Amino acid sequence: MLAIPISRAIYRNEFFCKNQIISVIGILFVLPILVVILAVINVFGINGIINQFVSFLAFEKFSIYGLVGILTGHILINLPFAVRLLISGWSMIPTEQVRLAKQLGFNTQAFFKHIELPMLVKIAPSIFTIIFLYCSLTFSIALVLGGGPSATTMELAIYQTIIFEGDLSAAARLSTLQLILLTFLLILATRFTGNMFIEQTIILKNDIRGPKTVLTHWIDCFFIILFCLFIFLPILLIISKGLANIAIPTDNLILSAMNSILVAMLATFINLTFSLALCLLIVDEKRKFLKILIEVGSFSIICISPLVFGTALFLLLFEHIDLSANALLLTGFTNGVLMIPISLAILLPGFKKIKARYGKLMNIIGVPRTSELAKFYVPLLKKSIRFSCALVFALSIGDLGIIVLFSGDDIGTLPMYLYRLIGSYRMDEAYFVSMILLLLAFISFWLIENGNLNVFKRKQMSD
Amino acid sequence: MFLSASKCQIKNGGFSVQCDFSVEIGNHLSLFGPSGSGKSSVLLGLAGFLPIINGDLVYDDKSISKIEPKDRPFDLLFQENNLFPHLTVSRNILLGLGAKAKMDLQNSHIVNEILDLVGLYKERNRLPQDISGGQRSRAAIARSLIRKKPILLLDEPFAALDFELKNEILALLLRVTRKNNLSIILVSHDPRDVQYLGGDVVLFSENGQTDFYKNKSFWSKFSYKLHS
Repeated sequence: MLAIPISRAIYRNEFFCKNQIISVIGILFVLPILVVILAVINVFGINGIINQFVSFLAFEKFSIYGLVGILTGHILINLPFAVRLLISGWSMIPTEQVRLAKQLGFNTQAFFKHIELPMLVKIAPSIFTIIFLYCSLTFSIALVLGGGPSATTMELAIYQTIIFEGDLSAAARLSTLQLILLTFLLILATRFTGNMFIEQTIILKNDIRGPKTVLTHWIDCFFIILFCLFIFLPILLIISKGLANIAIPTDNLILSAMNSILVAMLATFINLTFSLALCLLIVDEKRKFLKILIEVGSFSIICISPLVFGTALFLLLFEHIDLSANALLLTGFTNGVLMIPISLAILLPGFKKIKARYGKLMNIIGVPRTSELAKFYVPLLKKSIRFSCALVFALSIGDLGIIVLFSGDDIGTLPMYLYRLIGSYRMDEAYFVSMILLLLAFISFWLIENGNLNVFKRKQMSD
Repeated sequence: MFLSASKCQIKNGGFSVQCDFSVEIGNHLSLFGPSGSGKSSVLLGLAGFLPIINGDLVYDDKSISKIEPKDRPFDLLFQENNLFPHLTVSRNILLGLGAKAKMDLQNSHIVNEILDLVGLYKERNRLPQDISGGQRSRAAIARSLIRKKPILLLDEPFAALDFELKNEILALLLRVTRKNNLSIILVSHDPRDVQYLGGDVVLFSENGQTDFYKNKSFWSKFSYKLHS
């Protein structure tokens, strides 16, 4: 709900650094969760900036731990994501419709009702579903910021049942219930809005804006300032604390960073292989029922809890291989598989458009199925593929993930290293590692996705 | 009553185009030329969506260069997206009476009359995506007519229609404009459309030059070239 007025305000106003802010919002998708947690504690925690200000005003300090903390952490991660996708939605409103509205003399209310609301109805449920599922399946925020059993989530309950109680049958019951609930929600959302999609293109049309009044102008200003403070203050704080605690990287830090990169590479490779194969399978399948089954089945992966998936792998493999020694491989594999729905949301719309446009041509020319991918889909969807890879790589690098289930003390990733530092209250080092993790996620995302921060007017075949 | 553009320079991004013409209400005008020569920019400038940076646009002896699109004597039909996809045909047409117009007895009578005129009465409760391209064009024309603006601006709105359907819609337009003493300003790169519409012609060249021709002089000068 917050993302709607914020994205609207950003899209329809001109202000200092607007394009740069939209570009940065684009890479905030990949904020590592542990960094978010540290940032939330620093800004909203008992000794955070906000509480210092509250104390200065002679009010009583408030505690971030509990439901407020969980909510703040999730908003910090998901708000930029929602804002970015909604800006794309606003930019996709046809120019003619806006001109038509001007010609017909629409006021603010009529413009919202006939132009903006239909766009929101079309794309907001898809964004809502992705965020809802993501929040439901993330346990680390609730683990650190929940502050006790009174503010727990289902995923955290599964984590605690597996890790602390070792009660796998209880965990299985909980995860089955969670799976049913989330799949029900996914089917409901798909029923109303079609499949999830993530659109990365933004086309800013400077001359095309809806009607504005002085009041709406000031409301827009309020939302832009609020958003910038809420999003950028915590990140800048982490970077500044990281810079203040800069140190020569230890061997452990370097090794963890290398491990993280390895896991991310593996996850990206597995994800891309499966996603491309599934996209091809879906667009080529002629039997409608089977086509829908594969499509819905692939998207339903998003409802699977990473912990449950990891535990299942653990149970399947612990008698056959040394899990601790293969922890990186298993984490990479799990990350890659579980992020398939995200890649499908990015790639599948493009695959469908190409199939509709060139499908017959491919048949006439007699392009073998194996060459279709290399000759048509990959070159035409290069940008979407890079975006998908960048997202999977950067998310994987910043994810604490299921390595907690497999890893011993000797092997770990950068988020795990950070987790241990926070756990042992070595905060100075933790800030430095947070900064490294943050930069690693941002830079890798940026490099893979074109090496270019300019997200505007990227036209591609699928548009 | 006349609409006249005197040395009207219209800016579209880094590109600008200048044109001179005059058209009496009840007569028609074609903006004719190759793609990219600035025809649509002129039309958007007339409608108020692009700025007129030099010259003047005068209607009924009053300058209209600076007024809002809704207050100009035009109704513009775009190449596509002329209808709101979430509204039925009749609701789309009702919007021509104002954003706050209700489908009360009086308004539904007006809407139904127009629906009859364009032959869409049976389709009145259907959504734009559930009717054909030709029907969508007719619905957009109906909304334009209900606004009672004296000049219809057509930005190749029938480009997606086949030849016969396009002629059918043009015939409908000619019939209703004659009956209501309205003018059409049509953008096209097809000489057959220009010929079908009749009226005077502004010829756009690739180098950005525009020339105004009376109907007869245009056809006597270019008939051979255009038909070859």
